[in-house]
Amino acid sequence: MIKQISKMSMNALKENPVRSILTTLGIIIGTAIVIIVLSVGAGIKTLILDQITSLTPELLYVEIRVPSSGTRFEKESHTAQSLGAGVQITTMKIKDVEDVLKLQNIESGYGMAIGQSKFTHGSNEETAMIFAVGSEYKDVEGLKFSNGGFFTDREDKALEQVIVIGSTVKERLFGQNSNPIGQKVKVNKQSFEVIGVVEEMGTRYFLNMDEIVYIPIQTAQKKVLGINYIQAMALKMKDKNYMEVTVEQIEKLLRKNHNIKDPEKDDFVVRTLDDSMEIIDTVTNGISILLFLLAAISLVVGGVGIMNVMYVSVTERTHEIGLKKAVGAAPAAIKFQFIFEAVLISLLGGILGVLLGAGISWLVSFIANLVNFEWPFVISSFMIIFALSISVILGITFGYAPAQKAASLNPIDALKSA
Amino acid sequence: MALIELKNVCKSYYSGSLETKAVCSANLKIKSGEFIAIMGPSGSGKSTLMNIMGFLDVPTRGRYYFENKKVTSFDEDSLAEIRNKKVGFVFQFFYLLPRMTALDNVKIPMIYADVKDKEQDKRARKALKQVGLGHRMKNRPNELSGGEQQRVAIARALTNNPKIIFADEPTGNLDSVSAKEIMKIFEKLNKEGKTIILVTHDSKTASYAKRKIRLKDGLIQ
Ligand SMILES: Nc1ncnc2c1ncn2[C@@H]1O[C@H](COP(=O)(O)OP(=O)(O)OP(=O)(O)O)[C@@H](O)[C@H]1O
Ligand SMILES: [Mg+2]
Repeated sequence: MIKQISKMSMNALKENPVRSILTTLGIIIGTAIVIIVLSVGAGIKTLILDQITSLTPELLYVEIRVPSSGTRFEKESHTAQSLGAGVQITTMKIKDVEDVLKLQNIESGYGMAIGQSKFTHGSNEETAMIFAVGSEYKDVEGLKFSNGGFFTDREDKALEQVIVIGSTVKERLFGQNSNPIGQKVKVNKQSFEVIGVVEEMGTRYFLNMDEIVYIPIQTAQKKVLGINYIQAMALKMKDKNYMEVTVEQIEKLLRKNHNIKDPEKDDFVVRTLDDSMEIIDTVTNGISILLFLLAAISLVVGGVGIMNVMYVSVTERTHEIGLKKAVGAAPAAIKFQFIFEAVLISLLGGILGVLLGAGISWLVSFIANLVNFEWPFVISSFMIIFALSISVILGITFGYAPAQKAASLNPIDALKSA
Repeated sequence: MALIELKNVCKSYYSGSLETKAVCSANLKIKSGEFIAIMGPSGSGKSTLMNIMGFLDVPTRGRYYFENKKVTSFDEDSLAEIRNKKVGFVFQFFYLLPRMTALDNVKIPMIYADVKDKEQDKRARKALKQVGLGHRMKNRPNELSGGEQQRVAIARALTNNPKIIFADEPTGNLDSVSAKEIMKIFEKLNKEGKTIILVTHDSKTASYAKRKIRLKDGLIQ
């Protein structure tokens, strides 16, 4: 009986294929968004994790910040605005790094400033990003070299004019199969000796690490960037379990060095890996919630569309319903036929939506991979089952009222409606 | 023992405060195996009376006993079961589903009786042969003449082997030759033991019945 009634529902759809497809549009879009959110979300997570793999939990980052009041996130956006408006914080110095390094739980660390400059070798020119860093950068970040190595603390203190270059910079300045170790590169009218080439790394922290030039921080301050401050420091703890205490110690020390009495007026901020993960989660969750909201709206719109079409269908087939009831169809049998029809429509929309969503997600990862991001195309049977379950539930929910109406028709009135 | 017994059955329709008594104080006993014609002018309540007896409609007053059970207190599911198993309907306008073949139309009541596929096919074919349509099983209603369509409808009424066949003006839409063929089928079915209750205002059609009930303004005369 169920088999034959299901067939009736199916035949009803075949009678109106165009209408059935049009009705499913809302469901298609909604399901597609659900799949995209799940699939792209999983892809982004992999991407971000890949980008911050070097962020070990032992690491702390101290960054400069424009002092202000308000909540944490307000402060951050405020910082971005102020920096954009040209406000410069120049209070963090190499001395701060040296002092922090004396703290008990700090194993190593380096100060950092970022700049940009034109590098030339013979007739080759390359504008590259400068990472002016301390010698500990190599170990803290785990740099690997295809030629040579990194500068030492002694070279940094002695203001030696040495640089380490990324693989792309090397290619542009020296060509593909060359060994640039010992060669000279000109920057800011001064000659620097290449002492290392970093292995190809791709993107990290969403920067192309192969286009970076590393210069000892103190050399860079005096001879390239013309500054006496740093913008950030990275610190490695001996024991990450004392993170909170360590952060407090750093804050206290820097406040003393910077002559700050009120923590509200801090011109720096200490970030932990947890903070970074939190920010990433906040952003991705925000986007996901927004998209799910969008999906929910189109699914409800789609559901109402199905309800509408089902009411039309019941009206069109009042006569058929009357006949079936006259020959002994129980209300439940009629109800089943129409709910099943609604479920078929929404399931059809769900399947098309899954295909569309998977297609778009694949395209996104394909394009991301073209521009060198490690963005995998992730689709799991869970996502598909989840999306299809939603469409089935929608079909039942929005098909129920029309089916109920069909089931409760009076056979004689329904028959006379012919 | 009466198969059907109506006690003081009334059916009224209301539009606002205006009451139309379609059937009024109907008292009636029908025994198993009878062949009855309900006659009367248009609007006299023939269809209303038949629909009540056929479980398609419920009276506004009075009691209806079927096989000594009080139908007036049955719920929707029980009514559906009785319509399905105990009675068969034949209507003036055939009421076949247009997108199905004759064979599939005949199967509809069996779907709701949860008869197995194979058995459905066997019984549907037998019923169609019984009404002389063994050669038109795969045709759709629009490929059949009026008389043939009505015979499909009769076959459909027979498949669950009901006790009673109700027919509301079954020949009303047919020419005299087809009408005669249809009435011959009813006559044969009655001889085989089926109770036939027929609504007609045509005396020729009514002449096949063994007993006539006349209605006027909703009252049995
Ligand atoms: N659904 C309804 N609403 C209101 N009045 C109705 C309804 N159905 C029937 N009637 C009225 O009840 C009365 C009896 O109708 P019924 O259909 O039983 O007559 P009938 O004898 O079958 O007539 P006909 O020979 O024309 O088919 C008529 O006056 C009709 O107008
Ligand atoms: Mg009538």
